[in-house]
Formats: sequence, structure tokens, C-alpha cells
Amino acid sequence: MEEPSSLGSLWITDSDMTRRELLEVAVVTGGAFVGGQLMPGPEASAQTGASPAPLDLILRVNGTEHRLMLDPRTTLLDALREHLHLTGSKKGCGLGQCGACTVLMDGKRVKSCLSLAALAEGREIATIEGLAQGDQLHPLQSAFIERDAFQCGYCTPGQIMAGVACIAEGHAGSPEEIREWMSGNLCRCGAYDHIVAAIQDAVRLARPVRGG
Amino acid sequence: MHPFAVERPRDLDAALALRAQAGRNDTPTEYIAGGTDMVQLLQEHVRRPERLVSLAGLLDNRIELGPLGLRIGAAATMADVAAHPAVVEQFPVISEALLNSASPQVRNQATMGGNLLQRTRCPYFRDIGYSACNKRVPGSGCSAIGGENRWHAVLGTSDNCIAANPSDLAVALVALDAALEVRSAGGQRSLSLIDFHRLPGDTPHIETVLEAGEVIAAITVPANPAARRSHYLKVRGRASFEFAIVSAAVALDMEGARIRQAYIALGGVGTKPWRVPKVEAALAGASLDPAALRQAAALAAEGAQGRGHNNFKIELMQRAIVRAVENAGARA
Amino acid sequence: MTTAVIGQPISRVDGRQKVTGRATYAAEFDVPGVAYAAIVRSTVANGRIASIDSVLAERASGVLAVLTHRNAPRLAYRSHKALVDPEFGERLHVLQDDRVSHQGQPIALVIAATLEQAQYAATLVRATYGMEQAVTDIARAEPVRPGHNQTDQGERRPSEGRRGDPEAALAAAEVKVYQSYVIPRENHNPIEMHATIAAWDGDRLTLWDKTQWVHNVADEIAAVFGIPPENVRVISPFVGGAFGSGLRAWPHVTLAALGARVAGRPVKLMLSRREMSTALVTGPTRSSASRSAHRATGA
Repeated sequence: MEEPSSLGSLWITDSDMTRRELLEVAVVTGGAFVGGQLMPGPEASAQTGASPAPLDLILRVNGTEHRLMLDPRTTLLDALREHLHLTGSKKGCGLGQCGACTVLMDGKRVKSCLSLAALAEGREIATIEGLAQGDQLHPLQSAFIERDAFQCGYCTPGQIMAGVACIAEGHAGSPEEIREWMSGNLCRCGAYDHIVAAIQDAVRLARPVRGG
Repeated sequence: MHPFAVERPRDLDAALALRAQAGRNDTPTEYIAGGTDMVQLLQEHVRRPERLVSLAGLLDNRIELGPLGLRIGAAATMADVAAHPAVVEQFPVISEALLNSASPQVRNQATMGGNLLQRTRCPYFRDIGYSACNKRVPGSGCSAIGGENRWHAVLGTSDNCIAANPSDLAVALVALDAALEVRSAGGQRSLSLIDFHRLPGDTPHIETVLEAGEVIAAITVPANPAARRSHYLKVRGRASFEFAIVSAAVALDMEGARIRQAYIALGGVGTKPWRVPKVEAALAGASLDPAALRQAAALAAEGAQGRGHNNFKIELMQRAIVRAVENAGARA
Repeated sequence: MTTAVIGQPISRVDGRQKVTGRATYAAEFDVPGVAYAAIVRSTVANGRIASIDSVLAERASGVLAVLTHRNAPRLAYRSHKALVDPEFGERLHVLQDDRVSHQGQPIALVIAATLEQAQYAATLVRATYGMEQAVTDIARAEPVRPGHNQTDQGERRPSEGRRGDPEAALAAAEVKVYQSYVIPRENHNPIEMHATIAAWDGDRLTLWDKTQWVHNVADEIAAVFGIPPENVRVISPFVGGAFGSGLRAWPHVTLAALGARVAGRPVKLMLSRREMSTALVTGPTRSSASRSAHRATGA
């Protein structure tokens, strides 16, 4: 990626042609050059820096309604974590790539970091905090403990919510199918084998035994 | 994210009117449906609308099969379409393309219309730390040309932009001659999907022919006996949850062991989904003999231009065509 | 020896907390009155900040303060090195001067009432740089020779370790094996991004920090701020993976504490996934070479 500039002793450490041109100008004039421009071009809103008016929202989470005044930019994940202090759903990337933020919306698994809270109004949101019934763990939660399907535990709530949905969708028929249908959830500690085993256990528990 | 207001209009006409006030792409007012691409772009400051108009609940989400073919409401989710029995049985390439896309969670949220409008994954486009990106900042240059371009297009490029279109669904639909119903405050129009995405040329920042205020309302796929015998092949480094390096959508109308008519489109290699009519013509009347397939597939490379790190795609896409045709041909 | 525990399949004692979402990680502690911080990072790899303009950021909604090297309080940066710190060199003195030593170096800190306000205001800070040559190829880097045995912190370290007579062994060897390796930079990228919540009570500081070594954080931050280590309490019951990245106190920990000091209220600072590439270095590019003397038998 590095290539020497035409000016000999200076190295250019990226291939950005605009910067290269500017650097040459800077060297010739001996002055500073303009860098660090995160937002090239004029933007009216950038100049005012004003926040939009907060929205008056009702979010229904684990069967309970919560009234919140939220910046429209607030993701569902941040609404849960920063405003409702339901920190069970995790932020592992903020861009929909790791799955640690997985919640159920109207029964379907979604990535809450890619959902705006404002657009989640009127939907039924289920998070990890609502899965257990009091002290009674959901079979998949118990299976995760039994199968040691986690180490650091940070991906675990997202894995479990995705796993619950995966089973309900009928996509947990084999290890291969589970791996494919759980591929939206990363585990940096590498507990995948045990996660697959836990999901299989939970499937078996849910299936009635044939033949008495 | 830059500050924005959210509008949740009660009906489509109100939504269309709001959007129509603005200009073309990346204007202060944008639609949001599933949001799975839009929210990423907002988080990374690539898109900076002042107002988002939610399309939730305003568009058709039905999936219907009729004598003329398939009609899919633009609000139908990727997951619902992928699992629909009519799609699975009669248009498997669409189902396969969808199931090979993204992750189960994203497929539950993302809409068919939004999928067709998703922006390129070019890392220079998606990282505002790079000031040279003609698609993001017209006239600023292209960091990928002369930079890291393994992911980029070899077909349909210009000296201004070599970003690949990332949609698997679009490739499958283009192969099947899909069309779009587009609505605006002023009315409705239809257009072929193959005409929907634009080549970058001198204006890479204008990616589709959608006018200001227009919204995709539905996707139609004409009935086609070949669609039953179709397949989507996606070549990528990971087994799942990754965009295509190269992909091929194939549908075959066969008579015995011979191909009567082939329908083929490529993904991962074009600045837009890439139909290959010369390959199709060469396959008319051909058998599934590998040598014949290889010879026909070579025609796809016409006009292909590697940019340094993606030269391998030119050979790989030919092999992908051959493999996809073989797979489709093997379907009962 | 008891076999009641050893060798038995024991479930993790924190299992229940982890599967119910009740394990609390650094950014998840509910500290009343918390404000949010976002870091502005350099876009050049080496040089000086020629100018930095934070006026737009300061005026943005919800912003409580914007710190740069121009207005940040001076920090003591008393010397402190832990076992895991490199022998030579000095840690970054964050926001203390106009030097830029690596791409992504913090050059400003924005503190605002909400996460969204802080992140957005950070994009409004503009900087210009006097750029200098950056060496990012290890083959072109000046090696640190054993003779340079005085650290920037004035410590004298042994220049090299010796045992026996390696030169004689090599001279007498039937076979000599020379090996060299370059190990590229590693980024551990644990699934939990690093985060710190800092809260002052007079001269006492509480940090809820993602760390593998609470005492090192306390010692380092105490040295940075020039306060007694017993004044710093670090809480870290759960860590979302670290793999070594949590052994040292990185600059964002200092920034969280600095922000809380200036804002007069607790500050939460969470790194984004993108920042994890430049905010901390867990495995720098390194090269190593060895020479070994052998008999023909391989011994």
C-alpha cells in the first residue's frame, strides 16, 4: 500500500490520491495541509449541530410498556441498554454483523442494533431478560449451562434468542442446519460446538417422545 | 449519526409527498423500510438525511403466484419470500439467492424493495475517512482504483467507480427478466429490473433510475418454465454470512439433455447485476457437456477489466457459470 | 486429594447470570447522572496537530465539554510500568501536547448528555496536521539495540541476558540454523468493545472498566493523575473476552476519567468496533531472529 511520493523522502501511507496531491502542496509551501476532514462538503445540519426534537414513544418489552422520550437516532439496542437499563442484549459491533444484539420482534429474530427505536413502537419486543419464567430457566438457557455453551458470556444472550427462534422456525434439524441458521451469531471465544449441542438438546426436550 | 427527524405517515400518499419534495439520491429526505442497510450507513455517517420517512405498513407485502407469474409486494421480507412454497418450488433461484444472503435476523427485517436499493460494500464508500469516493462525494476520485480492489467489479466499470453491486436477489431477478412497479405521487410506472440499476459512468452517485419521490411498490417475475430448473451459486470465502466474490443465477429451459434456452446473470463482478446474453445464445441447443459449457462461459469475459486485485474474478466467473449450469441442469 | 470438584463436570458458577443477561459488563453499570463521551481520532500517522477547531462541536446540542490538547487539564503522568508493558518507550500522554504518533490517536474528547449527541458532535471537530514521515514497515524501522538500555522513564534495564558461550558454540557447530520471523500485527477484537465508566468523588475515582487486571488499571490511572493508588477503585466482574487486550490501561481509560473530572459528573466511554483497530494494540508487528548451533545428528 505504501509508495514513495515524487518528492523522494516522504512516504505516503495510504492510496488516497487527494491526500497525496495535498501533501505535495504542503511540502512545497512548507505549511500544514488540510487533513482530518471527516465531512467534506457543506452540510446545513452540520453547521447548526441541533438535535432533532425527541420523540414520545411507547416500547413494549417483555410484555411491559415503557414510555420514553428518545432522540430519533436511538437504535432499539441503545433504547434497551441505555434508557431501559435492560443490558442483557449486547452491542458487539453496532453494525449488524455479530448478532449479540439479537432480540425477538413480533416473535421473529432481528438485530436490534439495526432497528430504530422509533420504528419499533407497536411491536412486541422480547429480550433475554424475559425468557426465564421467574426462577425457571427456558430449556435452552439450561442447555447452554449444561453444555458449557459459552465462556465470556457476551454473545450468549444473542445466541440464546437466536437459538430460540431457530428452533421455533424448524431450522434446528441437524448440526449442519443449526450452523447455517445460526450463522448470524458470532462467538469470539469459539463455543460453537457446544452451542450447537445445546440447541440440539433443547430441540429434543421440546419434541414429544414417540412410542411411549 | 447526523441528526434527523422520523416521519411515520399513515398512508403511502403522504409518504410519497414527503419524499417528492427532495431531490435525487442522498437528499435530505430518505425512505426507510427494514433499515438493515440504512442504519449501518447512518451509523457510519455515509448517509446524512435530515428526515427519514418510514414505509412501515404502507406497502404491499403479499407474495402471489398467478398465471402471469409471481408478484411480490416490495414490503415482503426476504425471509418470507425465501420460504414461500411457490417461490421454493417454481422459482428456486430466488429462494436460494435470498437464503444465501445476509443472516436469518437480517432476512426477517429486510424488505425486497430495500434489498434492491442496498448500497455497495466497497470499503472506501463505507468509510468516510477516505475522502476520494466519487459515489459518496462526486468528483473526489476513486480510492479503489489503485487501492485495495479484491472485492470490486470487473464488468461495467468506469475510471470513476469500480464498486460492485452487492445484491444476490437482484442477480436472480435479472436472470428471470423481472420487472418493477414503481409508484410516485404522480402515478405509477413499470420498468424492467435490468434497466433499473445504472452503470457508474461519469455519475456513480446516481445508482438507479428512481426519480425523486418514487418508491418500489412491487416486483413481478414472469411465468417461465425455465424458472423451475434454476439455481443460485454463490462463491465466497466464508460458508455463510458474507457477500459474493462471484455469483451466478441460472435458469434452464431444457428439452431432454439439451438446453433450449438459458437464462444467466452474474453477481459480485458487475457494477450492476450482469446478464450475459452472449453466453445464453451460445448455450441454446447445447448439451451439458463441460467443454461446451466452458466455451460458452468464456464469452462472459468480453469487456471484463481487472483492476489488480480482482483479476481472478474473470476466470472464476466463467467457472461459476459452468458450475451453476451443471447444478441447474441436474435438477429434476 | 479431593475429587469432589477436580475432574467432575462442574457448571460455571456464573452460568445462570450469563444465560439470563444478568452478568454486568463494563458499559452496563447503571451509574446515576452519567454523561457520554466520544473520541476524535487523528487521520494521519505521524506529525503535529497544526490546528484544531472544536467550536461547532461545542455548540452542538447536548455537548457539555470538548477537550483537546489546548484546553485539557495537565496530567501528572508519573512513571509507571507493569510487567506487561514494553521495556522501552513511554505510554501516550493523551491530550497533553500536539504530537500525533499513530493513526487513530485521540486528539479530542467530546462529552455530551446522550450517546447520539456525543458521537455526532465528535464528527464536527476539525483538525489540520503538519504531516511527517511515518514508518509502518518493520523492515524500515530503527531497531532498538541492546545498548540503548535506558528507558524514557529513566530506568536502567539489563542490556541483554547471557548464559554460557553462544559464540564459541556457533563457531564449533557442525550445523548452524538461522531463522527469522515477522509476525504481523494482531488485533484481538474481543466481542465486547472496550468501555469505561468513570466517576469522581473528590479525589477518589471509581472506574467500571473492561480489564483483565484491575490493580494495574488502578496503579496506572493513579500514576497518570498523580493520586495515590488507593484512591482508585476498579470494578470489572465480567469481561466479554479480552485475550490480552485488557492487561494494560489504554488511553481511553484516562480519557473517561479526564472527561468525568472536567464534566463534574460520571462519564461513560465506549469504543466502537472501528475504533478497536486503532485504540489499542495487542500484538504489534514484530520480528525475531535466532541462531542455533547443532551437531549433525540434530542435537
